Amino acid sequence: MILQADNISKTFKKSGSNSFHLNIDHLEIKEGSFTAILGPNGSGKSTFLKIILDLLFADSGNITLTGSNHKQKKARAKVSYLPENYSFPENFTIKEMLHAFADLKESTPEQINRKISELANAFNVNYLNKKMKNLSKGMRQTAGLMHTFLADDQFYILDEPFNGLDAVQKKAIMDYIFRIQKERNISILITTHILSDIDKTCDTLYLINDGRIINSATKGEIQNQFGSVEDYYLNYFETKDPITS
Amino acid sequence: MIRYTIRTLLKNKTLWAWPGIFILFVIVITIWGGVSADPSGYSYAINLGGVPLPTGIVINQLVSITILIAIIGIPTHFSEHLKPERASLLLSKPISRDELFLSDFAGVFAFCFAYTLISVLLLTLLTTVHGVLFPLHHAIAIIVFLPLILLSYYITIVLFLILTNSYLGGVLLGYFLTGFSSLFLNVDPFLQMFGLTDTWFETILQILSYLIPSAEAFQQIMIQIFDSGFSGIDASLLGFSFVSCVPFALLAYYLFQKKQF
Repeated sequence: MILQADNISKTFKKSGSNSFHLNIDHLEIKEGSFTAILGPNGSGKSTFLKIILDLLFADSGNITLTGSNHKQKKARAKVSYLPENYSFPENFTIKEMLHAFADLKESTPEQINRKISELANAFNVNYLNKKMKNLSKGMRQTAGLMHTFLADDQFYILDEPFNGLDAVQKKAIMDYIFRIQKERNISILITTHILSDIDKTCDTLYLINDGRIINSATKGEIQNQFGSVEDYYLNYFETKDPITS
Repeated sequence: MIRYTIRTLLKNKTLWAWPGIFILFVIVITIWGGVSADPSGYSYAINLGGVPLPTGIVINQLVSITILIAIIGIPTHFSEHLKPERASLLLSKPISRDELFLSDFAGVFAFCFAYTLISVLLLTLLTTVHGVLFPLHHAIAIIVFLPLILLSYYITIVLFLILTNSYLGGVLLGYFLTGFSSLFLNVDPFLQMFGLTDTWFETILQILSYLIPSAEAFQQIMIQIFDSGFSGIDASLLGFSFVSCVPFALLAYYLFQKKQF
């Protein structure tokens, strides 16, 4: 198991007497799987990802990441994460940024250069020497994805990875992900709003609402019962009355 | 992580003003001024347009400008580290919070040391061009103590960056509070000025002096070396200067461990 989370709870105090509760009873991700977490804005998707990576601290619960307790740094040794909102040093070129961050995973400059060429080729990037501050939204997102796939890791956690990308770029990146999944049996955990992005790709989907997993299904189950991920999602979220599984 | 910090600092254009000021100083004195051996034989004398400049004051002014540039420029990267958008990129790597915190200080020290070395080399070049040797004890005093002065400011700034979540808040509070530490080294005139004659006022200030990093103590040691060489160092002041850095450093470390991104 690449990830196992049990009885995770986290409470945020908001203004006034409001508070947000995240309660994940059980979630597991197997090696080589492509898993998606879907849910409306503010449902707790990004919060859960941050708890997995120990960026936020859970009030209770256990998380095992790549075989170790998620609080240990060795748990993150083979994990790459692309947050939904991120900031790279603005006065770095893409190439400098990639070298600076790859350095944090103890790669050699030769390995980094080889990987940068591979990714630039796969993602159609010919602006490696452009400064981060001069990039468009799509270019910035592509640079962020290059940063994520720079190391040969086993588990990739992608929070809204296709924000701002056009269809061609999205396809190039999905093709790359499928290729490395076949070659290295990597695991992917993805959150997205764009259901068509994951319609044919995900093995398992979790639906999350108000901090709780309200349903989970495999690709086969969704195809048999609903036809598409979009219909599956709408079945749970289109109605104003909450539906529990 | 140390390499990452140094890379970020080297790309910071504000900090280019540091060697820039020294280069400008060397050029100005070379073209319009001069350097000659001090008649006492212990130091050197600088003049600009034929007017003699007090060497101690010139060096102190250069150090003060350097401190100001460093205080404005150095904390920008740590301020960025504290934003969730950057922290989530860094801390999702196999790096512990301990490592990030400690290697940041190590990186800042290494950077300050390197830029100080360049500055001293420029001053040495200036005196050598005029046929005067730059005193070795001056060089060592600057190379060792200027990075320590900057680090003492940086400790306070980091603490207030974490507490306030604001670059401006961290830098201003860090600058004024560490600067305030100079009062603790000369408490009596300060207390008399405000008519505070009770002994417990003195006690409170003495306690405070051990809580706030004392950049002034490092600076005074540097001046002691300028004036009388290494034999002039006050060992108790040296011990005090290091001890005064510990409480804020530990508090900043603790708060960083507890910070959520």
